[in-house]
Amino acid sequence: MIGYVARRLFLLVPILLGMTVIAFAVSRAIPTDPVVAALGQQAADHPAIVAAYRHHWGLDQPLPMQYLTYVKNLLHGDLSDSIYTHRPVTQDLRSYMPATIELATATILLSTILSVPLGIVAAVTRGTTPDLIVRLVTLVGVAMPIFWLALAALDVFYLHLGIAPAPGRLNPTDAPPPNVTGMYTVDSLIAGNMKTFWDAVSHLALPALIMATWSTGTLTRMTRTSMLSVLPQGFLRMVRSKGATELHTVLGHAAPNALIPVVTVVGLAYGDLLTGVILIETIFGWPGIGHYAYEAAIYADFPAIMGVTLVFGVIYTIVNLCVDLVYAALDPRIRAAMISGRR
Amino acid sequence: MNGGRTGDLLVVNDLHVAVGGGAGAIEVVRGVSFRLGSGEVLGLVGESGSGKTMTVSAIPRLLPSGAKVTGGTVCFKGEDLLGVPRQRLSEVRGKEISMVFQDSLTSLDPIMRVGPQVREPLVLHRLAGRRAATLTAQQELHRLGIPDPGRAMMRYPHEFSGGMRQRAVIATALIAAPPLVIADEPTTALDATVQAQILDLLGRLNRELGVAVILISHDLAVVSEISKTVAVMYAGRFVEFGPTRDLLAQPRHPYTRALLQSMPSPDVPKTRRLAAIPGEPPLAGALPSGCPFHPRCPYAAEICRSAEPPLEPVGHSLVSCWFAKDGSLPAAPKETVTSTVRVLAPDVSETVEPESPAPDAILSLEHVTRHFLMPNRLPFTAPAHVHALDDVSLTVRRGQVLGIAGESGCGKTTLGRCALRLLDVDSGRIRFMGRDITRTGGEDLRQLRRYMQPIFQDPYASLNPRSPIGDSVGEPLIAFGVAHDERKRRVREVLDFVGLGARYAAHLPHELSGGQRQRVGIARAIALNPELIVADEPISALDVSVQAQIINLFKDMQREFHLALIFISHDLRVVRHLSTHIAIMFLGQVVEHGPSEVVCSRPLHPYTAALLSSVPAVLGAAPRERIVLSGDPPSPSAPPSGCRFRTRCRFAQAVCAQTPPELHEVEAGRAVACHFPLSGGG
Amino acid sequence: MSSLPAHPAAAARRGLMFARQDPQMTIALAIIVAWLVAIAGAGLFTRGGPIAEDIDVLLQAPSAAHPFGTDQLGRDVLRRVLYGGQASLPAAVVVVCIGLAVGTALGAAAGYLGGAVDEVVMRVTDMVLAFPVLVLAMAVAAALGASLSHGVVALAAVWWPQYVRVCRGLVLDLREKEYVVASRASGRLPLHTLYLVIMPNVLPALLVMAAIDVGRAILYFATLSFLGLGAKPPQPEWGAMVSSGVDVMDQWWVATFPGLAILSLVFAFNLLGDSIRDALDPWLGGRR
Repeated sequence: MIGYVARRLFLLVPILLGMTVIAFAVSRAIPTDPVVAALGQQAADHPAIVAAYRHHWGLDQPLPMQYLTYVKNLLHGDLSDSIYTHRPVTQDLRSYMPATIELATATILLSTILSVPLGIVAAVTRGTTPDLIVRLVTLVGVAMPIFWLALAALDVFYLHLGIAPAPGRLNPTDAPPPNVTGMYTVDSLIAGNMKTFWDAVSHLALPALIMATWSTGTLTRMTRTSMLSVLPQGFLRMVRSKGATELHTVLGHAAPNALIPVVTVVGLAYGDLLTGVILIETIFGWPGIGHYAYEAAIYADFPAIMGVTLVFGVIYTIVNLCVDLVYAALDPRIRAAMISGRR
Repeated sequence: MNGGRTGDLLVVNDLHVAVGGGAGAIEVVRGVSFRLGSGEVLGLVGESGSGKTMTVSAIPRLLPSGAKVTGGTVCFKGEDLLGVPRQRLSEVRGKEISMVFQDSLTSLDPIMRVGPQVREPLVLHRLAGRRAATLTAQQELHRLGIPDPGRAMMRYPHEFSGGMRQRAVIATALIAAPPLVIADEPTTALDATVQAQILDLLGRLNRELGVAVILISHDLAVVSEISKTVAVMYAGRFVEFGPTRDLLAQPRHPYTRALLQSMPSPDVPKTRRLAAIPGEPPLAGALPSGCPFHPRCPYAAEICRSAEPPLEPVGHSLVSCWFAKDGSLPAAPKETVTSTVRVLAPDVSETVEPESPAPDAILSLEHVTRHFLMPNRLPFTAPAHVHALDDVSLTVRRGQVLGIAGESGCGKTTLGRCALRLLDVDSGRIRFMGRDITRTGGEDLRQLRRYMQPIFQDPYASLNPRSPIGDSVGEPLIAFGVAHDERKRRVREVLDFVGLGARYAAHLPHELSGGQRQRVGIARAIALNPELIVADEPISALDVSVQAQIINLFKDMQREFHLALIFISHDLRVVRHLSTHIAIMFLGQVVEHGPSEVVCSRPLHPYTAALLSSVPAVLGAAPRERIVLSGDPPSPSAPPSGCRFRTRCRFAQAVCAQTPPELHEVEAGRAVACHFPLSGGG
Repeated sequence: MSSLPAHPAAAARRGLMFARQDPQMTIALAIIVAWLVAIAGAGLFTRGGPIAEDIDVLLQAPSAAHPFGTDQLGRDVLRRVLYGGQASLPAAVVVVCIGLAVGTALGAAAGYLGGAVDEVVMRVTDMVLAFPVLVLAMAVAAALGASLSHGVVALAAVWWPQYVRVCRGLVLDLREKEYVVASRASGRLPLHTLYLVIMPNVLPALLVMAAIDVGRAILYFATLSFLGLGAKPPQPEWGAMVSSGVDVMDQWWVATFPGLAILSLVFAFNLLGDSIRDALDPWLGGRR
């Protein structure tokens, strides 16, 4: 297994390199002058700044050399400066990251808890009313423009009903807990401040719930499909022939088999999640990378956009790697194939 | 049959099972009755769709969803299982009645270790605690001949071979010591030598433990090995039911009789066509009127078409035939299976005796080796090899049929594909019609395909689902530019030859039965009048009663076209009947090679002898000593040193582990690869 | 071979029977057809263009004159929703078609030719697939500058790799099928085997996938526009319209109707995809 993990990490290198190629290609494919795009119109009017920039990024050299310079700067954590915040993009990303991770994790937890039982119930009751309801709801979920749902929810629950707290991560009166992880829920627990913890949770609930519409829909549907493909399998007949009850057959044997492939979908759902983050953070004033990305897009802050893209790509790749590893660890057949190097 | 004697373990009375509901319900079991005493073995034989699996699944109420019992009773120890609540059913299953299913790979939970699965019945029925159950499971695995049961318990099903898995399944079925075990085709998915082991095991368990067994198979020979009573099912009913010996020696139902006669056996001269049953088994939804067998029955009379005969006692048996009552069937009518042969190939005018010497070699393989690499994506590690073919040399001449026999994984399919140049070889040479074609490629190779054609195993996968039959058959003709009119004529001609008729040209594959599709496959192969045909397991996917038809068609084809045929099969009975020469393969190598009758009657290699003895004998006329090989075939990726067969060979000596035996000629045209060949005789 | 209905009455009868057999697909098709008609006939059903402003009727609630109300500039929301579909739907279809064409060609080449072609195509595909689709599309759109056509280009640029994966997988699978080996063994030219035997069996699956993807493309395109990276105001586009409704949350109709438009159309495409899959794979179907 360790060998397999090493092998997968080794294979990560070309993929990450490839991602930088794509990011580089996109940043050079701009129809406008890359210097103007990277520095903003104001700075681009100063010849000295432009010259320094050109030198730093090797723009006076041929394209392959430019790419090498780009990678070299990248390895030093240099993603250029944001036009809008005037700070290094890397620094911005680092400060916004914890809020996003907090939101994303809450979302994935929420949708997993919701979708596994729903999917199992739908599969077992296939063709009857409970199945129909689950399928309808999840189908609406995956078709939902969540930016629209978020607006509606904010309008109803905050503006009209006053149930939900105002946008943001905490009430303005609360001071953030001492910074450990940057995630307020975790940090407030560490500090033992339950009031702040509940405040943080109440602020987290609505955005996480809205964001979970997509991933819950996807995961429930996948759980159902997977269960349906397991239910007719011969080994369940064998289990019944041993004298097992239907409950034991479904929960003890069918569900564990069905849920393993669902793990891989969690990885794919994470891609949707990163997209959702951009929308939801913007609407809920959640100071994370998604919000940062939105502002970058609005203000044509090109260095910031490329930074976010690259970071999201890396997160997505690593999540999918972890998913593959978990999948391998759970399924003995895959595990065997991977260890012997057949995959 | 009604009422239940005391002492009967199981009494099934007038059982009816239907699939689907409402007006569209199709009756798949139409009134089955039998009784089974403690410790008895009942064999249940029938083709696919005959209702045998549905019958036994209904006993512990494990019918697939959509099927349900529509009538009758199933009394187990005096209790009607069809009426008991679900909870009582859970108590009976596994503890009183357990089941062994056909495919051992799908019978076991793939992500659970074997041990917990084997002990599960004990745990579920609270017969033992986890620890005690584990110990019992270990003992059970040990009794079933699984080496090192302690470690085996910790492994996953996919780490077991097919034979080992089936043993684990049987262990699970037996662990709670139920009085009745139902085994549904328990050996069908296994290799011949492993099948022999499992059958032996079932017989032994019945004798030693007194477990009653219901054994289901499509193969009458398999069932007759261990059952004292046999029931033959056709179209959802028993057509004959009686003591095995009587049923085999004097079959009273025409279907039973035809099944026995249609089996290739050494007693049928090679020159004779098999007495095949015409037609195909009926679909459950569209049974013929009267006796469902009448359209295929040579004795059918008016009454057979109008009324279904009841199951009535005749001698010691029960038979469902209007003509069985008189003691025996009417005298067999004259040969009803007329030959479909019409002279097609203009250059062959006289029929040639298959055995006659035909000098020109069509294809010869010389020291052909082909390994497969397990794809390995990490650099700097040695990839694993699978030895699919290792130094194989064979020749097939015009008019010869070279049979290739061996168990799964022996490389026979790879051999066929290499011979047709559908796969490249690593080393060695392939000569075809005097030309070295080992490395021929591109257009040259394409031109060669005119002279060599394949026939595939799976008649469902080998036809393009979107092409009408005529297009599939005509594909080789298009490839070589045969003009439209000529092509249509030729397609008609070959479709006629294979007994389908030109009207099938417009049909799509899914409208045809398995047997018909295989006929299409043959028609397509002969369309270009090739010199060489390689047929890979062409009959193993077909129903028993249809197999003989296709075997006959191969015989006709051979007589008509006088080509060189390579016939690959795991079934030595069929290979022996059809081939002029036989090559026995084991783990990528030819271990014995020679004229088929000589090889089969006087095997020299211990593996050949074991393979021959593992063929279930129907009549058991001469009770032979059964050679049951120990263990499983070794892995093709790590073959044993020296002689590859030595780990399963009872004659193995020290030298066998060191020096691989050469394939050497022992008499004219006869070669064997063994240090200690048998002295002749079986 | 499919038989054509003999005359209109028979066709209608068959249609009715179909609707009873597969209500799911019927509902999906009904919604999609209704939208197609409404979008195509936007000019017929409503008077005035989508960007005609009217300061007399700013932010009016839904009424008989303006069933969906009016927005900040007094534009009729219903009219803008219908015209908005003229941007969303064609954009999504174009994105999917480009993706399908490019992806199928590359996937077929990679799967059938194998070797170096396969390596190169799949490496590039994997790289693009390593990004979440919409995130990379955002970057491309931002690089190109926001506009409707740039949004289409951006989505198309990241859309094709999924089809490469699927197409290659299907081709690889089919290449080993006995009937394809049989075709090769019959002496057919390899290209003929690819065109005439493999691709006809690959394309239906890809077309089903593409049909379902139209829904996803609509959703993604609306999302791009919502973020200001697709269609720009005053051009009507559903995502952009929701975005402009953010400023006037109390006038719920401004954002609600374009949102419902997205939801209903995407839902219909997903339902269509589900029912096609059910029809093709009876085991996974919801009905018996």
